[in-house]
Amino acid sequence: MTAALQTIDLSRRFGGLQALRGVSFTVEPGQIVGVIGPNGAGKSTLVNVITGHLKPTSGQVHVDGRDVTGARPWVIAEMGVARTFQVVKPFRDMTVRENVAVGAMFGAASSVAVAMQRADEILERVGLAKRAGFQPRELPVADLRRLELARALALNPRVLLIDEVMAGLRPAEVEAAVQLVLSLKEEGVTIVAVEHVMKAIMAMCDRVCVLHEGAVLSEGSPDEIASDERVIGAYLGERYARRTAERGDA
Amino acid sequence: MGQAVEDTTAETAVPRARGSRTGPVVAAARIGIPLAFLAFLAAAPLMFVDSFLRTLSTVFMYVILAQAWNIIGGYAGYASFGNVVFFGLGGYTVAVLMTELRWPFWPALPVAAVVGAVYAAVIGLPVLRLRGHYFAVATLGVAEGTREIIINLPKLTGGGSGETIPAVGSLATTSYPGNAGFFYMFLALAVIATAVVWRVSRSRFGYALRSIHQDEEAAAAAGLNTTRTKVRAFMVSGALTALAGGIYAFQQVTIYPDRLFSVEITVLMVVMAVIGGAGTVIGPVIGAIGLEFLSEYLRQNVLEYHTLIFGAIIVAVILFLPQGIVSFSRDAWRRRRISLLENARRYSL
Amino acid sequence: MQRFLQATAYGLLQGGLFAIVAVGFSLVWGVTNIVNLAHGALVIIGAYVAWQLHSALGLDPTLGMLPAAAILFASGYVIQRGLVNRVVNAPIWMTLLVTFGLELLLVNLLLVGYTGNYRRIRTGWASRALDIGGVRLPYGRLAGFGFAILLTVLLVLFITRTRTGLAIRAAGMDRGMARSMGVNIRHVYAVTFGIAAALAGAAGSIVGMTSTFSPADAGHFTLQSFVIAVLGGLGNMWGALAGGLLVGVVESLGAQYVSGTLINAFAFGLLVLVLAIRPSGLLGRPFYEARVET
Repeated sequence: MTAALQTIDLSRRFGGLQALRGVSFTVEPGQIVGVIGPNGAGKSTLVNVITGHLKPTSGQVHVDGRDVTGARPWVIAEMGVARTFQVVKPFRDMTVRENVAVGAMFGAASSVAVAMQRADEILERVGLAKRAGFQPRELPVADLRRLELARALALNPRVLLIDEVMAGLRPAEVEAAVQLVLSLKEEGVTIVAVEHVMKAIMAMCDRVCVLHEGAVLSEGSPDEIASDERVIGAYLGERYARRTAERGDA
Repeated sequence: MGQAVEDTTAETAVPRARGSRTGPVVAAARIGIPLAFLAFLAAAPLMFVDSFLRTLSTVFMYVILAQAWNIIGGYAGYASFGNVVFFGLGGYTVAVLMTELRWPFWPALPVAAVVGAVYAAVIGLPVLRLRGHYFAVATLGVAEGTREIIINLPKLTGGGSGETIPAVGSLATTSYPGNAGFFYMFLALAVIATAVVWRVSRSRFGYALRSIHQDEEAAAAAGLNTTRTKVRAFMVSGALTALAGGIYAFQQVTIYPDRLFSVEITVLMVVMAVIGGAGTVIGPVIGAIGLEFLSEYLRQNVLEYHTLIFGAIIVAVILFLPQGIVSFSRDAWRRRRISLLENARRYSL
Repeated sequence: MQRFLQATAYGLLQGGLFAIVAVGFSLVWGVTNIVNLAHGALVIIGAYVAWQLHSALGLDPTLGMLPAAAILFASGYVIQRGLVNRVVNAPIWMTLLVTFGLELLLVNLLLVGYTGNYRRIRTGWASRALDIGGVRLPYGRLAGFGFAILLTVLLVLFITRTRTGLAIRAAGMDRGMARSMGVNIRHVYAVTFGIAAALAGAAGSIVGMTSTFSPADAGHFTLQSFVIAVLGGLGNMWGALAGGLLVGVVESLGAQYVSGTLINAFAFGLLVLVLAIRPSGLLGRPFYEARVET
């Protein structure tokens, strides 16, 4: 089965900073893969390179088996890969409905009227239907995240990359978001979730990939990752990892 | 705390629906008033003296230029400060075709539009990758550079001493339309330009332009081919501007590079569009009419200080109405208050 | 060969002068993201100030530079704080239009006050020249070049060694963060603008001393500053110096060997090319990304 998304030895440097070092990972269709790592690990850079907003310094990106390395963002979007932005980027002078409709208009090639209809359907699904006529500046952060997600969904994506959508949400909101993501999986959408919120990762993901300083540190099921010494070391420091391991043995 | 914020937002924020919530009377007025206005204008040559007719012609020429700019600058957000290059190229295309190749005016004019569109595509591809000030400066550089090139091709374009179109006598390929003729030409093109902008504003293309303006990265991620969209917008802008230039060249009979590629024209079209309201349909019309009449008035009454006062007024209006007359009026109408002083602080640091 | 050397030497001397004009413009653009279309007008005002001091008090322009710079600094500060600051957060065309309107105002005030006649400051010594191997180096232009280097060094020292300079750099890199650190952005922006105006004024007095000037020249200086700022990288002081020298030499050689105005077309072509291929300038590193797409 061709992988829905695959990166091969992906590297990206910014002047003196090596943001990604030979990152290779594969996402099978219908999976939910989490990407975690401390700040500065390169998670958002990875998303940007995959979706064409940045060109890799070396390495390849394959979508559905096709090499899309270096393709422009809209080409990737047209192939059914949608993304959200870590810092939300709504169209500030358009209504919520129009924001989502734009995704349908261009990502899913619809006319304005059809796009508006589709937007209403999606808003209903993510729980923003009541805010359809609002301006982004009038929305609280949870709704802005939903808007970001809604716009990505408007592209009818086969692969969805969500970048820290849970950040700053209250527990009830996180729960709702997790349910939404799981329901998307049921519809056959492959999902890559860059996240810090561990609760969500543990609840949603089939597999987790850990990035540290631009390289893949570890990969496996959520449970495997949670007890992986190296991962604990990366997040909490080497000494803590060793002490935990010692306590485990003793 | 979060709960409270959410609830108040839901209660007090009034959702603003795009398009009007107004009744049929207003809708009828929206069509009726402009039509009546147009009918009135159509009779203008019968009512007004020649000099006023010429002023009106200039007004409508600027409406065309401002609307053309509006597409790339107002809607797409790429503030070109060199659109005059299309004006000049359009003018010189018509002039050269009519003078060197002895073409009549009417076939020459569409060629001017094609030249404008093609040049926009060629220049646009490298230049539209730049943002903000860089784009503005680059277009300015293109305009200045193109003018210099035109000056340095004297065999073709007459160089610095200009080119004269044979408009009268046995050499003329088309009879000279006269004041009324040119008035109608500019009026017709102004109506077309405004109609184009109106059509764009309601179309998918309009959404494309606006999403590029409001967040280009997000637009690209949403599947919009931003490069193609920007170049298209630039081409439409270039073609319309070139048409205006073509008509102008014929009207002036003798054209010079300094006039046809003048920085003043390029800035003036931006000022008009912006003061009227960039990104609106009626804004550039209001801006062009208002500023050109103001300029004419100043020229008649205080010629020595004309530019000085004009400059001062531009600065003042921009300070107090930075979002343009149309947007300001809409906001003021919605909130039932007008406060220029408050408005001036809108974009303050 | 003689012609080549003369033209090159001349170009270098001119280039130094262009550099002082441009360095302030580049600084303001790089730090505050404001393109000041009235910059050239400030240069001409400096020239008139020096001219006025010379005709009224017999003050040599090299000394007249100081009052010119001081007056222009104050004016620049007020203009920025009172006028330009109001549109800093507005869409791009706003600052361009406001500064353009300002340029119209200033140039026309000068025209009203002084008419469009070309003037020059006649000092005895400026037109006399040093002769090195047949290459003529007018003292006025040598002095101009010297001041260019001196002022650039002073500016670099100021920006890198003083607290205000540090505040300026911080504001240029991250306005919001600088503000949270206690930097008074309004003041810093106004100071930056004032410095640029002061340098323009100083350059103006040198212009007055070495060639003729009139309000009509304002636009040319502004346009030239664009080219130099882009070539050298926005906000890059040494880049502006290098860019100025480059432009000076190219213009001078161009005037010698190529038809007059074609060199302008070449300069603009170069500008567009640089912007398209390497917007951070031939020498520079910008404060912010010029390109929308990588």
